[in-house]
Amino acid sequence: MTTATAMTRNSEPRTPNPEPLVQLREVTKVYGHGDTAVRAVDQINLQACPGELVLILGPSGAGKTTLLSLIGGLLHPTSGSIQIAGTELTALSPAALSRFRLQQLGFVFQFFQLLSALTALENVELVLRLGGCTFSQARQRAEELLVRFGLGHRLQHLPRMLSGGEQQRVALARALALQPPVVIADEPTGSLDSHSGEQVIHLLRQLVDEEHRTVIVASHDLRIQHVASRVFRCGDGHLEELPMPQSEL
Amino acid sequence: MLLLARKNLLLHKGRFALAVIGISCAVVLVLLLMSLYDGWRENMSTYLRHVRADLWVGKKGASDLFHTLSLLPTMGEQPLRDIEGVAQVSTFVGRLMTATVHGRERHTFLIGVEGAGNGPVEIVAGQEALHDGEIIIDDVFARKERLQVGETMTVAGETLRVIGIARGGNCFLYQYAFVTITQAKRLLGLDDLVNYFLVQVSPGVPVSEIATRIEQASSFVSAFPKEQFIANNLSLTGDNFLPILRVLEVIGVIVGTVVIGLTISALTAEQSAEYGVLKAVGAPNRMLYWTAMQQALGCGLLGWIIGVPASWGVVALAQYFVPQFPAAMSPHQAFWMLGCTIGMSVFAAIMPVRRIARIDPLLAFKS
Repeated sequence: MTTATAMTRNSEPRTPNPEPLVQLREVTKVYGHGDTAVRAVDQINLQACPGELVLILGPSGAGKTTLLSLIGGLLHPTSGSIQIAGTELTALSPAALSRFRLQQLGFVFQFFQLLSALTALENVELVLRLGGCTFSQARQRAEELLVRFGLGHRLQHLPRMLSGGEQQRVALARALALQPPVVIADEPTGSLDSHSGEQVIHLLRQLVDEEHRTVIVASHDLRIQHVASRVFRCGDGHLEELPMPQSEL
Repeated sequence: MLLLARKNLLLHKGRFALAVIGISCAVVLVLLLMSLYDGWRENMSTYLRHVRADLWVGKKGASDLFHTLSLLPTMGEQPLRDIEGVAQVSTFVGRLMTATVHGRERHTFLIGVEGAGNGPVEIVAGQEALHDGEIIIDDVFARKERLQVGETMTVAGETLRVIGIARGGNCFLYQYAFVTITQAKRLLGLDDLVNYFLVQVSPGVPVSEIATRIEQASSFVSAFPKEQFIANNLSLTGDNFLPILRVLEVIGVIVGTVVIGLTISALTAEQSAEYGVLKAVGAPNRMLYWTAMQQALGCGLLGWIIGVPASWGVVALAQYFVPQFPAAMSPHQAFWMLGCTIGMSVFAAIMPVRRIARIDPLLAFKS
């Protein structure tokens, strides 16, 4: 597997897509009321098109996770609009939002969050079954994904029997099981050693380059900057786009 | 989601086993009490159903064999025979007596047999033809007191030889024993008295009509149709003791529900983060609720599967060590318990389901 340090952002000119897949307009999220109110996200605007890897950098408490939760439909904004694939998330009922997340979004978490009682294969199968696949379809697709991510020999292993890198690759396979157009990753390399982290970064970039998905990553990991299409810094509830380093262009 | 429910349960095998054992014990307790309830009612009425009588005629105010005392003059038999529609009249003499068996004082309900109309239900050892100085005892009494055919016991100072052992006369607190009518009258001190007259009506004549005629003929007697008389006798236990069994059954059901509820609640609490992840990735709430429900049903049904045969074993053991234990098991009880177990599981799942409903999917972003 290629390491992240050897990778660069895809320099091939891509056809500009006028329709952003992810679009946030004037999104604000306030926690608490009155004097204790905290504006975790303050009038943020963000767009991400298919085939883009958007990196959000920032220290702990900067609002990165809140932002991802808003994009993922897990939090309701205090104000503003969040559109994903043309659907206004703030207008959806909780049940519709749940269906939307299942079909349109893939999640990768810092702590993998695999179901401890299920094997690697079953963790991926479960999402496919939730998505309406038959048992045999789910098994076949889950196997294909795990083999693709180099886990063909670990199908029947429980999460506790896998290394951190392997768990994160299972989580990535789970996120991609239903082929969502948007993948949201929160500190995907945060709990991994250097080598495993590079493997995961490589896989994320592959999703963008080969499958033209939109990947939004919140991370401290500067290595991801090398493969990102656009980089934002998050701080005090605001989002600021950083200029890409010349070498990356 | 069935896979997840099953695997989650098996993740902590020891706790799961303890929960299933707890539920099985509750199932055994409830089935044991149900069999005791049914057995009691069945045993209490077996002999009375066997007696050939369409009507039991006793002194006004007396209505059963146990609560109340009925004493009627023997000469009352002829007026009954004279009533139109009466086919046959025989006498019933019987009372609870103290007997001495192997030097110990015991109680038995002594009945004087007149013809074949009020003899024992079924002879299982020895013979049925009684003579003075002989007695037929109940199978349960024989096992309890280790009495065999040919041995003797003493009632009211008279020694009686056991010539037969019968089945169908166990009333739990005491058992029926049979002697000749003359011997019974002597032992009970009822020379010119009887306890009840047993009346058989002519074919085609309504029993209620004869009962009315009898009560109109004498203001000192009451005539009870057979079923009414059985119901009067059952009410002794039905009104006083059996409701206690029902209360204990309810307690058993509550214990089972609590065991299932605690097990699934603990499991749900431990796996809150995983439920949060499932919510985050888009699993609909109803599926998560169904997972908790499946876990509760899994615990409950396994407890039922183990508990039903275990209850048969416990009843067999109880009847071996306590012969008068009047248990009657039936598939009906097991199926009733199955429904009850499903109800317990569904009810027990309410708390975990409410907990799942409150789980925040944002937990997925935390460690």
